[in-house]
Amino acid sequence: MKKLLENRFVLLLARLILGVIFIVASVDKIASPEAFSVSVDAYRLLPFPTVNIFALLVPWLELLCGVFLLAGYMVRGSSLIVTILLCLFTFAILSAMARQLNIDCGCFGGAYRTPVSWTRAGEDLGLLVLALYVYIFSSREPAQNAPATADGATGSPT
Amino acid sequence: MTASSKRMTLVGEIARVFIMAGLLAGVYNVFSTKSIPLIRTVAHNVAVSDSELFARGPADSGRIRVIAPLHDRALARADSAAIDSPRAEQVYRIISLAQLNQLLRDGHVFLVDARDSAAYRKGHITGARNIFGLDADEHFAELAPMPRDTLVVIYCNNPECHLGRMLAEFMSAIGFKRLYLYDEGWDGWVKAKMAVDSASPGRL
Repeated sequence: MKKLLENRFVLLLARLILGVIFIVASVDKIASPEAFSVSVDAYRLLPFPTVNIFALLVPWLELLCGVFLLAGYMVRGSSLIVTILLCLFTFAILSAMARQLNIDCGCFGGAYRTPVSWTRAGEDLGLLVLALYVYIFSSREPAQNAPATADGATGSPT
Repeated sequence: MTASSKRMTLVGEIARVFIMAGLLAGVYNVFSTKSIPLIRTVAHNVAVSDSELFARGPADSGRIRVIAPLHDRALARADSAAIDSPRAEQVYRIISLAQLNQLLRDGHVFLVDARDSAAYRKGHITGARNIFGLDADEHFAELAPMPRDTLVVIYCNNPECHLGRMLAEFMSAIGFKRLYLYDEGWDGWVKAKMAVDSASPGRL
């Protein structure tokens, strides 16, 4: 098992899955920030005036981390941010369910409406495990962080 | 590489990603057509006065029928325009319990329960139909043939609830002009001990 986890192709696969999912999830949120901030506000977790800053910053974090995970640039930092974001998302979904808020998940932006549910929480937990795995095992392999791909990765994604 | 320098590079990486994301978000928000203010401001809920609500306006006498676009693409355009323009005028207004009672006595009101169907089956305001706020677009075919000057009253659980506002925005996007939100909702209605209905399957 340990050998399998240390296999760099398994690590690459995990990075690719996380990267693609985060890029896909960010696109609609970036395209229509107002719809996303309505979703964020519906959770009633953030103080009302700060909702817009969160709704503006988080999709770009998702996109950048997704691109960096794909490109193999700053993998440790990106995977740690992704881990923290997924912790936040999972907590938000579970707390919304505990408070019996019948709200839109906002997971993939405002365009794909789906209510918060155990499935959504489970998806986030699965991704969380994947992100933690990438974080832990990519730090053991310093060669992963070679900045050779730096120029390609920082280009404007719009 | 020592442990502390490794930690430093990690912090540096995180800081760099945050700074890049912040810059991109800021620049994009300045130039985007759908930009939003950094500090979110409260959407003012505008209450409607009795005289305006019960006035016999031209919409009542002339029976102007506004037929909304039936085209899917037109609907999508209208939908995204309504959701993405925070500066747009309020599309619905708030009515009180007394005003709702008056409207129900007069008739000619389309009362909609925006909660999910389980809550609706447990109990709803007598005469209300059920359109779950998150599934509003699935009801487009049923809503489309209705005259757009129909007086619509929407309610949810309480002012905290988002479903009623979502439904109102959707109905505004497909052309309904007279939308009112009973903001106290189901909780307010039960508290006032008004007539409830838990039997009739009035799902639209």
